[in-house]
Amino acid sequence: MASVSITSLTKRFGGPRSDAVIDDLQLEIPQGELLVLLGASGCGKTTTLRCLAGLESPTSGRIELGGNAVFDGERRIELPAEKRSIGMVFQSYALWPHMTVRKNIAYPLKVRKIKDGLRDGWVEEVADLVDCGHLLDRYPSQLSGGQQQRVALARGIVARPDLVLFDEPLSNLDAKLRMQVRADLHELHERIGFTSVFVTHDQDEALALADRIAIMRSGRIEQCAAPDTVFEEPATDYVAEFMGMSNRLSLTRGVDGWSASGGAPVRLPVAADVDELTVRVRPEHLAIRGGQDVVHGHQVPARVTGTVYGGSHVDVSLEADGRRLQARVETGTPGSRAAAGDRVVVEIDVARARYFDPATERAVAHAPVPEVVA
Amino acid sequence: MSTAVAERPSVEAPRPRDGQEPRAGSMVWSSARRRFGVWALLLVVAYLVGMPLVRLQGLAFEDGAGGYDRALATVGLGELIWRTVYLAFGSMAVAMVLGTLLAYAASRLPDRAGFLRSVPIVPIVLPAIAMVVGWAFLLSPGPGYLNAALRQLPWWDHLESGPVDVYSLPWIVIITGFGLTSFIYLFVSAGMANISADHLEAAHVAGSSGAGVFFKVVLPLLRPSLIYGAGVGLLLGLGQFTAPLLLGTNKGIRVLTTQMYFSTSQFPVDYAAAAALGSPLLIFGVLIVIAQKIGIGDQTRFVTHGGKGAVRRQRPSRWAAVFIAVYGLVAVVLPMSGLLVVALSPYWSSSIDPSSFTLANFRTALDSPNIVESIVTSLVASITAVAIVLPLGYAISTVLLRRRGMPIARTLLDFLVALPLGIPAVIFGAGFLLTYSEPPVVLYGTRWVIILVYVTLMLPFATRMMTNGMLALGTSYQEASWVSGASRLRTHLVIMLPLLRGSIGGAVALIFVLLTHEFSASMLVRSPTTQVMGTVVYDFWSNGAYPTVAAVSIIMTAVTGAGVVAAMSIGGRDVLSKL
Repeated sequence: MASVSITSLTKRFGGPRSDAVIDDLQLEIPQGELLVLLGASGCGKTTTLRCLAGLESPTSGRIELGGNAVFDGERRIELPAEKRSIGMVFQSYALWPHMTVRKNIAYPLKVRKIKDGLRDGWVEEVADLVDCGHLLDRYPSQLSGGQQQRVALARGIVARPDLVLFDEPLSNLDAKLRMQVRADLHELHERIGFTSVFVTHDQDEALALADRIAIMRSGRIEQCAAPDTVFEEPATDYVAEFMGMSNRLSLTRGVDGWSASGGAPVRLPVAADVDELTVRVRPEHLAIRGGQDVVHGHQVPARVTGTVYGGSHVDVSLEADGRRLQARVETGTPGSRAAAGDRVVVEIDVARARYFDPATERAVAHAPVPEVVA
Repeated sequence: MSTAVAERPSVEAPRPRDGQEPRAGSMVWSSARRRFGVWALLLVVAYLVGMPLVRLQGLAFEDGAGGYDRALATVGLGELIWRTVYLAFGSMAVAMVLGTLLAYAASRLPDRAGFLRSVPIVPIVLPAIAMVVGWAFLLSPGPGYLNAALRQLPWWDHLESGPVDVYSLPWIVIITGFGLTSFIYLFVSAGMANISADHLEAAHVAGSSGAGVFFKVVLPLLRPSLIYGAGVGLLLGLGQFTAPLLLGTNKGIRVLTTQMYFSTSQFPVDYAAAAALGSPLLIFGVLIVIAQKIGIGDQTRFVTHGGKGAVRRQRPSRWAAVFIAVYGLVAVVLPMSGLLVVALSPYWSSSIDPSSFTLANFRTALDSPNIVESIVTSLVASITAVAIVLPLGYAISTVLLRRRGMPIARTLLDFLVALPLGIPAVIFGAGFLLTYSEPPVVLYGTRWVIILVYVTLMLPFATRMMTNGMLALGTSYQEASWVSGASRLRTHLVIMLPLLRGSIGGAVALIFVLLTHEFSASMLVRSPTTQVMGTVVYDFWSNGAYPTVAAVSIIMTAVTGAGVVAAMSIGGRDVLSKL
């Protein structure tokens, strides 16, 4: 195991003037951490992973593995994949079909000439760790998808590499199995604590597995923090949207406080010297009130355009001043009985909404006391 | 440089690789090594493919382009070119009609008749020279068996010979067309596979008849593969050598390729004029290869992921099976029967007398040291060439499939490898004859010149089959091996080769088959002491020893047939369509 340090990493697939797929990326991963690279497709997360693995040549920058440079654009160092101490789990598993499970798992030990490992039964040990001890003499084609996934994981960690890389390893599994393997993987990491980088586009997966999540966009990291921080305190408008704050409103500062067009002014818990704000709020934090209810948050008049019944909750689609909003209300509350065409008032939970500067798209600092800024 | 880096703190498990921390390799050094490998490969291919062509042109331009002057002064040059073009367009037209109809019929075969699908490909794997000789035995104006049968018909019973004269240009065109039909069939079938059955069913439901569907829906949808197939057919037609040589020589019906051959083998021998005569074919071939490379572009774009969906077949038709079966009878069984009858008869005459059938011709053939040696030479040269060309093709595919770096080297390599497909084998034969009968490397008269020309001719096939195998395999198996710590070489040996064994086995057998009946290039590079099966057949043919010709042709077909069976058992029944 080792720490990873990425400095000013840049990757272009075309010439010097082409768009950078990875753009001046900085990232420090301490030893033993599981870092998740999260982002929409095309954001550069898989390319970053392949650069770490040595399967892709970065254009410039520096990658250190345990203090040793494995890539340095300036000193023209590039260690090929086979000379880096890494393990990798592929999206397609890439288990070699002509080898038994035992041979697949033993392969990294054999080619790296780790004789102790072969003698001391690391193969069996790691196979038991992933619950595949009984499958060692089968061929990959005789295994289920989940089992293949575990074998691929065993092969990735058997040689106790400095760094284990995961390239969307769960995306080929069905939903139920994915949850199961995700939980197992989490437990395994807690137990052996290998340093790893895990690429996914699934935010639930990222939240469940990560020590830290790095959210990527256009080859840059938007925010890198613990899962709860990313979820609760998104650093940018983009992260907020990616983490489920799908409702977006624009507020302007007035004499009596902040207001959206058509809404009553309200005081907000922000300390900022801007005249406009972008508000991000989760569907759960929008409430639907009838006309007479007493409201505490910011309120906006809206029209219901449709509802979707979801068991314990109801998803209500709304339109407020030409803007689409989504509210998720508990079944049984008055709001859940809304029907298409109803005129309602939408109340935003101002304490749980997040505020961004529309110019920089970055989060605006919280004020210590809610009603500081009028 | 790693010595300068501080040792990192050790972790709880004792690290197995302590003390042998991987040293950072220099980017300059590792990429230089790789570059060197690619350029070395390019050099080998350039020498094999390019050198003979360069030498040919060099010779043609020697002495103030004297070769061109004499080639232009060839008696009847205009007619020579006209015949070549006529042969190309005529045989292409025959092949287009037959190949398209066969491909359509094959798509409508009933399940039980599925085996008929490979029938139209059979002429590719049978020795062309055996087929041509077989047709001559059937349609020779005098003793041809079919002609004799036709003369029984009331309206032809007054004829002394004929009615068909196989030694005429139209029949050379038709017989060549039969040979090209297989290629068109392959192209059109590939295009047909991309037409969804829904299109055709929609037309049927809308009230079209079978013929209506064919003309109004199938043909228009097939246009791209038809155009491509026609281009390839034309190219192959221009380079045809076997039928014009065997059937046209007696009456002086020469085309560019046979004229080239006679310029190198008959008095007055004039290599420079031969080289100049080949130039139009050379230029046309190079242009077609360039056009095709521009048209197709990057191979990796054609990678498809996942399995194919269930392919719904069209309404089966019994007529489809009948049509293919009749074609098989006419194009394969008929000429082969002609061969067999002559091979079993004491001499060739228009009447067939089963009571006189004998194996004496085979015994004579196998007792003749020349013939036995030619069989051995064919086998040794083919096997050696396969052993050389496959590793070469594997290496070339590895380089061509690399997505980045060295674009110039890769483009050049790609182009050079494709050249033997576009340029007629006769031209390569002439080039090799020229290059290897003079210092620095004198190989003429040995098997090596045959082996080298075989390697060159098969480069495109070997590369294409390896490339297809690698594309189908994808990159993740080898990447998984690299990140596990295996070197490039070890990954090739332990992961790629075992996983590609199906493709490799199929390629071995197919290339072997194509080589055992190679005729055109062999005619040019053979020497009196180093003959292959095809060239021996030609010599006996020229001397009029027809029963021996037939017996050796049958032996040649048997060797080839064994190769085909091997190919199909290793590479699966569809292996022939991978050409």
